[in-house]
Amino acid sequence: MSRNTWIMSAIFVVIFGVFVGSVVSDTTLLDFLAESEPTQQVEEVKDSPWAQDGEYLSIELKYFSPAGEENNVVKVMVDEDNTITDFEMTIGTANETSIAYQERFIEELETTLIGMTPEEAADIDTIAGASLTTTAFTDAIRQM
Amino acid sequence: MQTITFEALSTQWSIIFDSTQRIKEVSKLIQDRVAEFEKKFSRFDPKSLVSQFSAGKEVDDEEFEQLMEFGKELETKSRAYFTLNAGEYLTELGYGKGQQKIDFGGFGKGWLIDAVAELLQEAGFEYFLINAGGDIFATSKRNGKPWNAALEYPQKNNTVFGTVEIKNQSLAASSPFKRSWRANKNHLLDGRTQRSIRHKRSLFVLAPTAAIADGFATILTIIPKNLVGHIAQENNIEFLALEEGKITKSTGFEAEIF
Repeated sequence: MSRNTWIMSAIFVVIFGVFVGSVVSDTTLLDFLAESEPTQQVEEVKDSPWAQDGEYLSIELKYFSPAGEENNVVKVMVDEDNTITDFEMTIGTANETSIAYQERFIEELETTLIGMTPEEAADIDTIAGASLTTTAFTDAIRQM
Repeated sequence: MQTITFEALSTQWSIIFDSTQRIKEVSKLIQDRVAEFEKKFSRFDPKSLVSQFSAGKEVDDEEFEQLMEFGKELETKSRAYFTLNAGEYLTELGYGKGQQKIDFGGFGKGWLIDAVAELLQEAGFEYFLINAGGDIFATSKRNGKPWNAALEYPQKNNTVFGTVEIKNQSLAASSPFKRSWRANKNHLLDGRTQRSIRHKRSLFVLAPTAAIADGFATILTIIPKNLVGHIAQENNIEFLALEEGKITKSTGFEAEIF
């Protein structure tokens, strides 16, 4: 795999983690704990096909939320200094709750990812002092 | 690694297990423990022990007594800047229902983090990290290495300014910026003046347990600036403080600042 593909794979894990997290935090504690099973996205991610889309690399994500199947296109750009310079995600749902979640995730991911190298992000296990940060986000960072 | 997430004490919790051990059973135990704690110590539930105590009824509960004792110790160690009697004040600000005469909010979350950690250890889990809305307790990773926690700017969500390693200890944060929606009022009460603190200081505290870290994060945020170093040292607390754009820290708080 080329370096960029690896970086994209890392980003994919983040995005995927965010949506898994969104599903989880949308359920009650009881529901979630009753059904909780280890998540193993990393294995699936290694084969994920990223498409070259102009200067961006993009991928279409399909996943299931309480609102049903969701679709998003995620695009990221990494410059020659190995820094994430841009992040885009299209929202492909009409469900208001899903939109609200996704908008928040886009904002959170954008402010954190841009300017970081994938290696810096990969070193972080959790975030302290983040009383407003969603667990989904923390979870996503951890999986990088 | 495996993760569970859930909501408790009005914040989101996540527990990361560095293990392949089955977590289903222990998840159920955690669920029960957390629900029990919330029921007992809720500011909002008129049936809670806190509400009963405030109504002048006798409370016969071991954990309630332990929390009271721990809270009173914090009052003394803070030289009375920290008070357990913030309940009434918080009710006025809209944080609770009824006239609560007592409030464990300054360290209750830390207490529950410790309780969950103890439960995990009793169930045979050795390598885990608990993050409750940004307050953390962690053992080590399976390879014996510490966990790496990013430190978030209190006023800038999702913007980190450094990292610190955590191993067999707790990292708690406190800040007057979160949960503040009225001019010159916030959830941090000066026990001596019975008013919101005015200074804008945010704290990160490293301590052996989450109850101590949570309690001292609160205390070091409330007290006057000239006492922060003294009270931290008296109680073997490692801290990092952000105030007026400056970062000060104790030598034992080995953070890497970006």
